[in-house]
Parts: sequence; structure tokens; C-alpha cells
Amino acid sequence: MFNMIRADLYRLLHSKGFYITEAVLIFAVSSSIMTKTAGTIGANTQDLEKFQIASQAKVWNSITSVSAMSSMASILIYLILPLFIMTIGFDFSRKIYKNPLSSGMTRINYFISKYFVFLVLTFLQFVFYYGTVFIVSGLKNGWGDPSSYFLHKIIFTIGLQIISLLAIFAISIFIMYLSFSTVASIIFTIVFPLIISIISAVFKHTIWLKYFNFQSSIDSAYFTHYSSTNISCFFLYALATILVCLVGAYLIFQRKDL
Amino acid sequence: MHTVLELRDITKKFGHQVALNHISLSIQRGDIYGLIGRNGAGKTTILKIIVRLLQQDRGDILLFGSSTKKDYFKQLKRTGSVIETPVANNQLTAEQNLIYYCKMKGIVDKNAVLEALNFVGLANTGKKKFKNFSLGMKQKLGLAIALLSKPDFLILDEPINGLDPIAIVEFRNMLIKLNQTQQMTILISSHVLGELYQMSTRFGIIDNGSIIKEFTKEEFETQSREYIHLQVDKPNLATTILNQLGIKSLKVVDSKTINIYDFSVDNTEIVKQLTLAHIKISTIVKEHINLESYFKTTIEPGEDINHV
Repeated sequence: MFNMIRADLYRLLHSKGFYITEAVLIFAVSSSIMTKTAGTIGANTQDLEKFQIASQAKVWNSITSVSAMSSMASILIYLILPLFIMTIGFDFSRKIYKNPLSSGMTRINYFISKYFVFLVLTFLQFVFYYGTVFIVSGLKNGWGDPSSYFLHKIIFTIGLQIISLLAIFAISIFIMYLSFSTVASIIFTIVFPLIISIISAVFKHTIWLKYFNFQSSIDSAYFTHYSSTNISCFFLYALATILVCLVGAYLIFQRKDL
Repeated sequence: MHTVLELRDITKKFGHQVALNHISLSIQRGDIYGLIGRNGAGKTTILKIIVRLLQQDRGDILLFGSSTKKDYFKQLKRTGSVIETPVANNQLTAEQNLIYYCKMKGIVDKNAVLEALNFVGLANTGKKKFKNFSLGMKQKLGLAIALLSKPDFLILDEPINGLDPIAIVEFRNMLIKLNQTQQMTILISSHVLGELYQMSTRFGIIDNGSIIKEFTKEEFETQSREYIHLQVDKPNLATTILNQLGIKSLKVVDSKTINIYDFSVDNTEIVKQLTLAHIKISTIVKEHINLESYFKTTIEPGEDINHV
């Protein structure tokens, strides 16, 4: 598993795509901070709009920027997608999986290793996103003074964002192992959250649907006031999605003729 | 002799189509085993089952004596393989690709990459990326990746497809060197039979998912003696006359051709007797069986008279 992480990180660091992705992240974050504009991709809720407008009235030091930019964190779906393609997608579209699998690596070991690599990259991308926000805004407008409420809230926010994002990508991984198609997986990763966002906006009173609206969960995690039941549901639905998709993906992979 | 690989009664179906039909074969340490077959005969399917890219429907495989799942995967680490087209990371150079696989396999020997590059002759490819490699270079890099962990058993699927004549000779020499200097056992599938003949020590012919013949190079060379290639307009009558002349070993290949393996009667006498029987002779020439013609007659047998 650790060998796979070392190998995949080596491969990423020798890929232009990785540097382009990180450059896009820095550009998107920096331009948002410079213009005090946190945008969003997909369906925009009223609460999100209110939060982003209210944020514009504040001074964007490191602390306020981190809270404001948390409402734009769904951009990470598009900034983790290239890393997902470079670490898992290319292995399938170019059949690179043949080399490790034909030389003694079991499919379960391969599957877990690849997912672990993806988890590490997702975590690092979150660190890089919030780290860039913190440093760029700190250098521009000062570092600010974090309250205990902020620290508590931002830890919860990032936790919910990571698990929601992993739920989206669990479905992408399922599609990848099902179809061995990078294109199908990319399309699904982009289209699925948008469709769910739109459906959720249309069927506002269908409660369970909002728990599958992972993109909205990512953007609204900071400013939404959740009851403990709500929090449990969000985490449970996301965890269940991850579990079902990963088990399904592995079972397909295990039985597949390669 | 140590058995490196043993397949016992392996059957594999894709849907209703039988790809492998009760295949059994064994490979001994030090063999270069040439697996011969037409396209779609089942060569790649066998190799994929050995390296676990496919799972057989029935039958057992023993690799270095191991058949249990856990132990089999352990023994599989002692193999290197290139199955179908060689694959590697497009955006990486030859050296970077080898470093990538060293990290993945946990190989810490710092010389492993350079040794592999030198061995396959890719040490001077510089910054050229895999996606820009010729097919020959890709085949060589595939072999280098397979050799990184210094395997005891090398499995190669059509490795000389698409190579130019010089690259074919280089590739053959590399494999012979590996076999002779490192005692590496090699299983190689191909339909470039001339090449396969020059390097293999044992052969298996597969057709329609079944192994129809296995033989050593020595056995083949004993069988591949000279014969008389005879083409006539009435092969049945000619066969009767040849038998009357005391020729016992011959084979009717097709509606015009008879191969005679018995040299007890002089050619002049054969021509004389056939002419007297009003049989028109279009060809009578001495020939030698090569692996290609042997393969052809094995998978498309003519009418055997006596034996070859």
C-alpha cells in the first residue's frame, strides 16, 4: 500500500497535469480573495447566496477568508477530478493495472492501495486549498483572530466536506470499475452532483434527497445550522454511499476478466 | 527436473464459447517453452490465467508447486510478464517508468533501473516519453519492467510482433542470454514460428482451445527429416503403386500432394512406375519439414498413411 502511494506520488510529480491542476487552484483561490468573490458551480441556494453576499462586506483576513471560501469548496470536485484520473483513471483506460496484477499483487490489495492513494490526495488537496486561502488572504489583509467557535465550526465543515466529496467520488469509482471508462467516470462526477442539486431544488420537501445533495453539503457546511439528527443523517448517508459503492466496485473488479 | 508451472485440466469459457478445453501442460526449470497457435487459439487466455488476469472455470494451476490462492500470489512475485501490448505510463520516460515500478514493487536496489535499461538497450532514450516510443521500444521497456524484480519465470505474449528484423534478432538474443546466464525459465507465445524455433527448447501447439501436441526441440529435429514432396493428378492410385513398391511411410497431404518419408526406393523408379500407370507428375522434389509446415500439417492434418 505504501509502495503504491510512493509510486503514484512519484508519477504525479512527473505529470504536467498535476502542476496545471495546482496552478488552477492557486489562481481560482487568489482571484476570489482579491475580488472578495466566492463563486459556486451548479445550483445556487438562497442561503448560499446570502452567506456569500454577507461575506463580501467583511475584511477578508485569513479567518474570514477561510469561512467565506468554504462556501466555494465544491470547486475541489473539479480540482480533485484530474488527480483521480491521473492515479486511478489512467490505470484502467491504458490497462496499466496489468503490470502490478500480473506480478503477484492481489486485486483486493490493488483496490485498497489505489483507494488509499486517492484518500491521501484528497486530504492533501483540502490542505492545499485551505492553506492557499489562509496564506494568500493573510498576506493581503492580515491573519485575523480565530475564535473557538470558528475552530470548532471549520473542523466540522472540513470533515463534512471531505466525506461528502468522498461520497461523490465513491460513485465515480464505482462507474470506473464498472465501465473501465475514464470518460464515463468524468461525466458522471460532473453531472451527478449538478443533477442532484437541481432535483433537490425542485423537490424541496423531499427530505432524504437533501442528504444525497453532496455538492450542496460541501458549499453550505459552514453557515448551515444543523441539528444533531441532521448531522448524523448527512454523515450516515455519505458513509453508506461510500461503503455501498466501494464494496460494489470491488465485487465487480474481483470478478472481472481483465 | 523441477516443475515451474503445471496446468491441470484447465477449462475457460467466455459466455457459451469455450476458450480453453481441458488444457494440461507442464514447464520445467530452464525450459524456453514456445506456445504455438493461430490467432484466437487460446494462447493469451492461457497466459492470462497463469498471471491471474483471468480466472479459470475449472482445473488447477501449480506455480513453483503452489496451488493455494495465498501461496500462488506469493509465487507470482517470482514471475515477470508482458501480456498483450506492453503498457506503461505515457507521460514518463523509460527510466522514470522503471523507477515508478521499482517504488511500486518495493525494489531498493539502486542499480536495478540502470541494469534493466542497459540489458534491453534503452539506456540512451533520454527524455523521450513512453507515448512517443516505437513498438519495438515499447516491447523492450515491457521486458525491462518484467525483469526489474529478477524473476525466475518470464511469461511473454507475442513479444516479437511488430518488431523489425534487427530488433527481432536482438530480442531473441536477449531471451537466450537470460535463459543461459540466469537459468530463467521462459514461456513465450508466438506465431512467428521461425523465431520461436530458434530460441525454444520445448513446444506446445494449441488449436481451438486444446493442446494438440507437445514436443521437445530434439524430438522435432528427429521427426523433421527430409521427405519427397510429390504432386500427382491421381493420388489414390499413386499411393497404391507406392505401397506396391514397398514404400510404407507416406502421407496424403491434399488432393494432389503426397509426402514420402521412406527413401528405400529411388526417385527414378518412382517416376517410372507412376508414369507407367498413366499418372501425371507435376512435382517431385526433396524437402525438409520446418516448424511452420509441421504446425500447418498438425492443425490441418491430411490423410495419414502409416506414420510420419
